[in-house]
Amino acid sequence: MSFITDTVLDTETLLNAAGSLIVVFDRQGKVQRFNRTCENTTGYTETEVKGHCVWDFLLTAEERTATRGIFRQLASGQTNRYYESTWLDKTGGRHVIAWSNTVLTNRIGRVDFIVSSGIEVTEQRRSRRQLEGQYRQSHLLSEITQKVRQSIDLTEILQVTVSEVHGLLGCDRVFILKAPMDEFIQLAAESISELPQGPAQSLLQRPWPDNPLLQTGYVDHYRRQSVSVLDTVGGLGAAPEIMDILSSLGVKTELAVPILTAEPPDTPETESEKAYSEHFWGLLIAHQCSQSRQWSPWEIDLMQQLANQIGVAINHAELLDHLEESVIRRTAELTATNQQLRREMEEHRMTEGALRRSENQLRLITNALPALVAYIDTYHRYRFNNYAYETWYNISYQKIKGRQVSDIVSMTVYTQMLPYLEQALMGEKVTYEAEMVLSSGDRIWASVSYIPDWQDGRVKGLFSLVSDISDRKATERMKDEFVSVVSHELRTPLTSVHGSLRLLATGRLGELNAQGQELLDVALRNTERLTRLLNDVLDLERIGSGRGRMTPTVCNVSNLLQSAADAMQSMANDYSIGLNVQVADISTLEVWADPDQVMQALTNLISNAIKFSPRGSKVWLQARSLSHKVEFLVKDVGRGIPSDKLETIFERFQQVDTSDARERGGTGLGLAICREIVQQHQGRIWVQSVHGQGSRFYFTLPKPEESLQERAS
Amino acid sequence: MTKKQILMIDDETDIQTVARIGLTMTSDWQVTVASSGKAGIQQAKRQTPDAILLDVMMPDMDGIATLKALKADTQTQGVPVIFLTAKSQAATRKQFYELGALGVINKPFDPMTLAGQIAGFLGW
Repeated sequence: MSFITDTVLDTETLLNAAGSLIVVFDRQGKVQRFNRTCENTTGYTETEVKGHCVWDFLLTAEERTATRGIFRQLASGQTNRYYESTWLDKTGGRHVIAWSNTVLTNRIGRVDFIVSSGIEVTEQRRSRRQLEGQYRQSHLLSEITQKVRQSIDLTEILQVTVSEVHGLLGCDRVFILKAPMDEFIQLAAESISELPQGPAQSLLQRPWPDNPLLQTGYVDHYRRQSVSVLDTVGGLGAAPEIMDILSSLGVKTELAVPILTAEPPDTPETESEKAYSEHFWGLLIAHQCSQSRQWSPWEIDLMQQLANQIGVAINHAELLDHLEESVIRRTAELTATNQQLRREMEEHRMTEGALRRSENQLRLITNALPALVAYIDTYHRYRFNNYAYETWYNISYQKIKGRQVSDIVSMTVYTQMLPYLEQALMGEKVTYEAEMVLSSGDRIWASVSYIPDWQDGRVKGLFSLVSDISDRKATERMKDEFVSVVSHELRTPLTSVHGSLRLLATGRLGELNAQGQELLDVALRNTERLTRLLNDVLDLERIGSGRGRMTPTVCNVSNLLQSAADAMQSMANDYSIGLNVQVADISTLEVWADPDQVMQALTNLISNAIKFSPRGSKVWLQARSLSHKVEFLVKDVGRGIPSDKLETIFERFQQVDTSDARERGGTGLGLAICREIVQQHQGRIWVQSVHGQGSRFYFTLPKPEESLQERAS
Repeated sequence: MTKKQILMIDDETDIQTVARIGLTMTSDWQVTVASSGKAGIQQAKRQTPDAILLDVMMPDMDGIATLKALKADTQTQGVPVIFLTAKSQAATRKQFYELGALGVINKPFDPMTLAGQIAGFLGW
């Protein structure tokens, strides 16, 4: 259709049909063409703007310089620049336009015209800003939420909140007041615009009581409220006092949001019963001082959400404080308990350690002993063995534990042990000697002791101690042999010497002169003394070794006394002493004793009695029956024994007066021999004496048991 | 009446001397001596003494072995034997008697009373 084509091709029509704003400028920047969209947008007609520069009236003050700069660039040939500028319409409304420019050059390349094509993006920008705002809001929210969850620093959270809100709202002051009941109101955080002068001064610099915002009067106003918006300009709002405060601070509009925290009940019971009440903590406030302002719903919403988050953060912080306290307390308790536990464990360990050490010590000691140390229980099982068992039985000593005694020792030895084992397990301590054969085949003499282990009134087992006494036995055997040899070897030459002197002394082999005879007597006397000494020493050694060399038998007491008297008769005659044997009422009296030894004891006592009695006096021999023993008595009226020597006189080589010994031919061993003999018979020997009046020597011998039993029945 | 003949068997010649002199001084017995068990047995068989005084501790053949040998021999078993010993324990004395000895005399002995002791044991 040619008409349409023609119409379309009409530049004017085109220009005015375009939805975008089209402006044509000359190189000086004066408007040449101003299309309909421009007219509609700005309210200016083409006629009004033609020939004027846009920056004179269309642009905002702030953009003039920049736009002129862009224009100059365009004019000099730089093409196709994209930029945005804000146009002011006739009513003062703002329009954001996105321009793209082209230039029209003449033949020589000089720019003649600039064609700007623009699209109004005001709404877009607003939407974008809104979106940005919302984005920032939610970002801020999520950031703060995150911080609340991450950070435990309340101060940091509060400060970040006010800074971000301040940035987002673009107002003059954002701050948080902490307003606890009955305590000082504090400024918890503040963010202000950077205007050192003017109304938006830092409130932080103004302490209480100069700071009206920190007065209770101010805060109390908000305690019961939810969101509060106050406008001093419009008078929107509240009590006059508040208005006055705000006005005095130069605040045009205020947005205040309470910060509420959850106050846990004092005594929380079960989870379900916890009813948290809301507690007024403080305020989040935004001030606009430069001008009055309408807070958009999303801004108020943002503030509320932030206040919630702050509330949560405060709860967390308080909870954390409580938690921290609890943790510290609990940690202290746990530490104390732990220390206690550790101490107990240490004690336990030490006790165990001490026990083990003591056990080890026991093992060390017992293992070091050459003797066998063992513990045998009532079933004749070994429960403890020391190391010596290895050398004796050639078995690992640890392997013996728990095994029967009869498994370890030979049957012969076990049979030997059995009666003693049983005796010990009945509670009696026993010791015996036995010959044993070791695993090596060596024969040894052992001394065995069993000591019953009494626990709670019962015998639980016994301690066994076995020592090798082969050495002692060997020594004893050697001593026996020695005694035997000595007695023979010494007595043989003595026999010759003594015999010869004896024969010579009779005078029947030739007379010596008086001195010669005297000397002969001396020699004879001393050989006799030598003989006696030898006899006594050997007797004492033999008797005193306690090896049961005596062979006890039933002896008639009166016979013993009579025999002794008979044996000493010649000596008694020599000293003119009368021996008085009193056997009248004791014809049937018997003792269980070795007759030779009893004889020896009696003859010793009688000999002493004769030696120390005055000539012509008597020596009495008596015996009497006691309950289980017979008491013998040898009595004299001689010099007696001083009281301090009554005990010591039975010791070896003890005499009342040493001068006596040589004169009276004593060896000093006689009474010691008597004592040995009597003690071997389980009897007792003692003396009663008054110095100067005589002595009474007593000794006891046991009665034969058979005869006792006979008499009992 | 023939004089009693005593045979003394002891390896110690000094003791033989003392005993011999003592016995002859205190009795009218005849005393012969032998210095070992073996010699003593031979002597006893040759002589058939009225009594033998026998030392216990002798080398080679001791008194006990000698006594056993004497008792084993028909020629000498009737001869009474008295032991002469330096040991004087009751146990050994009992052993001597069990072997057939009629008496035990201890050394050192008194040569002046030796004859009396021997006579006492033998009922002379």
